[in-house]
Amino acid sequence: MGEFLAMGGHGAYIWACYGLAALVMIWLLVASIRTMRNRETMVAALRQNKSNHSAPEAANPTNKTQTVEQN
Amino acid sequence: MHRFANPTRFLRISNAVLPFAAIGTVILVLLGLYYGLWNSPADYQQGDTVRIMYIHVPSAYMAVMVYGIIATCSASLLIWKHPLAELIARASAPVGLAFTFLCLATGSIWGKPMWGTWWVWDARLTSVLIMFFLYAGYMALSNAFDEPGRGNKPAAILALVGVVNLPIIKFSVDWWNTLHQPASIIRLDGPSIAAEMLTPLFLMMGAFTTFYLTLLALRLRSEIAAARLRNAMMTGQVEA
Repeated sequence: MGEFLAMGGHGAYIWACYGLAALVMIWLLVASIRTMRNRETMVAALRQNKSNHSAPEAANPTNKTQTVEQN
Repeated sequence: MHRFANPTRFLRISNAVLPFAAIGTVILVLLGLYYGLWNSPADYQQGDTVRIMYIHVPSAYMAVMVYGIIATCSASLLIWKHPLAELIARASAPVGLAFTFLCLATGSIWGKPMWGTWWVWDARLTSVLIMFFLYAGYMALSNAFDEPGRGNKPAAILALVGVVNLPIIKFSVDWWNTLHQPASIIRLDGPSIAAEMLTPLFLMMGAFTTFYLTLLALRLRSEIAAARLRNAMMTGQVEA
């Protein structure tokens, strides 16, 4: 195992490359998912707002089902 | 052609692609790591540092491919004003920038033990650095205006002008003296790399490609949501 990690004396360079690639790619993935979630939550919230404003009688159940369908 | 521009329809396609691309990435990365780090020989000249190639070359390949995709989208945006082209280009640019960064960084880390220097101002390294700045410039320009969409046209023109750089990157190792090794996969007389090294290399190139597709599916959803938000801000209407 120690020999594997040492990589013929070049371990530091090789593991630095693989580690950096892992970091950058995981960061890309996490950042992309997070931004997407935030934006989709905002779109959903806007829709919710909109349907609440345009339908003041939203208290009744028929209107509520419509709101869900729109989403 | 414009029927694919319908965001709802397109969302369905990209959501269908997403799980396959994601699972494909996991499988290819695991196989690539196994062959790349474990089940492949050290190079007779470079020793184990040759394993850096399995990160460096796929990064370089993706950096160039993604630039090509952005340029194609930019042309289609300028000629047909295709709205989806704009979204694909916007979603791809940060990914391409990250791949270019990885290519430069891993190349530099590889250069230190093999060439004895982190960096030289030769044609290959400099032209890839220029591509890094083209990506950065594209992103800055497309977001430079308050009015949404205003920056798309100048950014697309920049991306198209930067296409000149792609053949320079490819042929720089033949045209000028350089420390960088010449092409070893795409050659007239076939690849000059040992088959045992080609296996992890192609696996990793596959992994990077499916990883890009995964990110693209996610980021397109994100761009479509952003476009709906911008639309809602301007018109006060939220489209279905």
